[in-house]
Amino acid sequence: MRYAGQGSGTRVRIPSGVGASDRALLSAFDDEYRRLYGRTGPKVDVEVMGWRVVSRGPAPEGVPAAAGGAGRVTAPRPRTVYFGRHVEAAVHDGEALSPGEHLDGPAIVEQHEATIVIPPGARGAVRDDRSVEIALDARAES
Amino acid sequence: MRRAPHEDAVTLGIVASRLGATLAEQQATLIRTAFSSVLRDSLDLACGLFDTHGRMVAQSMSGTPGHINAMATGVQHFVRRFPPASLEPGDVLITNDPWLTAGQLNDLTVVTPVFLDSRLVGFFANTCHTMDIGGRGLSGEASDVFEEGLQIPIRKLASRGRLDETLVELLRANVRTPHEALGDLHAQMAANEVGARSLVDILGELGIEELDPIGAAIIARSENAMRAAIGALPDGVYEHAIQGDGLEEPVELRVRIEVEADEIHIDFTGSSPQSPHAINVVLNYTRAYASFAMKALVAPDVPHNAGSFQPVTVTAPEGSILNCVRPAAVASRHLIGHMLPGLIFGALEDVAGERVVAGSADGVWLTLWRGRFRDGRPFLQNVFQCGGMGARAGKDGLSAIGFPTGVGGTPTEQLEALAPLVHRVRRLRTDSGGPGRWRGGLGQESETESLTGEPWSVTALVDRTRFPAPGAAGGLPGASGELEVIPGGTLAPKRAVSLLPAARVVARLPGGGGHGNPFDRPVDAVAADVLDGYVTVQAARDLYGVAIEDTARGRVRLAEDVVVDEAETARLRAGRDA
Repeated sequence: MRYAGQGSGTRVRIPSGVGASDRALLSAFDDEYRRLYGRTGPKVDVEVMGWRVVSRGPAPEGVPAAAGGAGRVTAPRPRTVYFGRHVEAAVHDGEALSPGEHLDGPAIVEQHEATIVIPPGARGAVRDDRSVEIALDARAES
Repeated sequence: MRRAPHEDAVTLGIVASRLGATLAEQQATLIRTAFSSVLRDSLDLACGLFDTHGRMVAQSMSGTPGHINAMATGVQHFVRRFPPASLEPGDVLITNDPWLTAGQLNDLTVVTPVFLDSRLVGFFANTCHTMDIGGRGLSGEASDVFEEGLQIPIRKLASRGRLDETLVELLRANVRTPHEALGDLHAQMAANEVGARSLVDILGELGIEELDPIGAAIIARSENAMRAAIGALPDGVYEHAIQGDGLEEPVELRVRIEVEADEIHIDFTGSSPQSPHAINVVLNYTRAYASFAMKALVAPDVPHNAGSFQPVTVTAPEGSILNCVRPAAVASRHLIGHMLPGLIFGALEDVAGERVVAGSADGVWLTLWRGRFRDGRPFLQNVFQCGGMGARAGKDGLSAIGFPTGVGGTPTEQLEALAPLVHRVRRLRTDSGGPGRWRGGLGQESETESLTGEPWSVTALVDRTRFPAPGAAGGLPGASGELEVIPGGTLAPKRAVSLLPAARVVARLPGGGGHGNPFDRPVDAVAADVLDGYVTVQAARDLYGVAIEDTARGRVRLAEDVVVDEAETARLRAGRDA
């Protein structure tokens, strides 16, 4: 939100249930503005530049399966990696992972776009779409 | 025994860097809460922290020297007018007096006292350019300051947290862009309050009751460092003179710099007398740019505060263009003031060695566009554009950069979003950088049209259309600026000009001067400039002695299209010694 005419906006947390025409929206803006900048602005209209909603739900169904790649078997290579101390980590080729595969940390997954780091004590599971889900505490999982 | 923070260099260093962070917070608040593009895009502003005597302890990292230094030496007037006993928490002070602060009515200085346990510990201040302050609007035409808009003497804008509504309503009634002006004024107050809040936190955390001893220690360190740097310059008297466009007649600027041990005296005797037009500079603004130039030249890394000014004195005869007396017109003072660093660098070219910068475009080009939207509402938009900076030994000049002001050019997107105007062209201006071993920075070129189908107008506050930025150490000057209206021809600068609905206004900004002989510029660098479109094939041959064939046939020029004729180049370059 911002005062009409300003260049920058202020992100305001709105309690659920407050509507766009509610006065509570204005007081939420005033409060946040005062917290950041010590005072409110001039007596002009206030505008909403965008709405942001954060929601959380169950895992989606029908995850698309990844095409290609799987079956091209490359043995992981060992590399010394620093996790507070030097340890031997398995370096996996991200293109060669197969769904259902488990990766015990310490491990590194090298991909074209990014590198995944699985710290010691964590465990990765390759999902059907070949994304990697990491449980930071592997003992809790098993 | 535990020593006080100002007695311990390590603690002092920590406090100083925390004050720096507080000033960054003050400035960020100003920019984020600002309404006008002048503040939020161009950063035509300054923020500073002052002790209870009105001496600047620290400044924020952006902003213009004209604002920072004029504010640094201007806040003492607030302290004199409102001594500590007359101030209370929640008070906010304001003025736009050109003679006491930044030299034109459009610059509003807002000063907020900071209290700790109801005792005054210091001030936060900022100076910001407001787009309009009434009167004629920014122009070179006024014959006295009364024509230039609303004058606000040093007053309380707020008392104990309550705004002076009379003052606010007077401001609202007198300016053409009240929405932006009042919005920015709130931003100025908010910025100081955020600074004050952090300062109180820092003092409380350290268990300190006063800022003054810390401020004095920080200021003394900068003064000592500045004196040591000046001491490294050879004693002597250095003189130089340059010319600026002026309004009807050129303006002569003359300097005599006396370096004696660890002090410098800069005197501008011999400069033109005060002008009948609005291009006069108040001494406080003259001092701002003169002391900036010395600081930048001898001690750029030393933290800037009141200590930087102590070893540098600046004088100009009363009634001259660099020390004008009331009620002179002053609106376009920056076009003269911005030339002072170049003038001073020119005087010290022989002793400052590698630190010298060749002449720059200097005055930031300010165009003020007025007209009506299709629905009849008036618009007024301020556009800053920057020419090229001079080259230095070891570095090409920066292109389209605000030196010495630090003001950022107005983005085309902002102009087009805020006014019914369009830039048909906005590009670097080929061949405008002064040739040299190190090339001067390029100016920019723009072509502006209106979409309204109605008459409109422009006031172009520009300079260096008659006198180009000089080169240094054998480098050549940059290109002069040009203003054109199509149809029509040359556009008169520094005055309001009415435009036909279909007119196009072309601005070609000056380039910076080159450094060193252009025939010593490596052939590869010249070829790279041709490839980039910075230099034409003709100029490469005539001015750099490099024979190039441009074999590009399409719209895109590739590296292999720029073919150097080595034999011809050798012949051309040998020729200059003959």
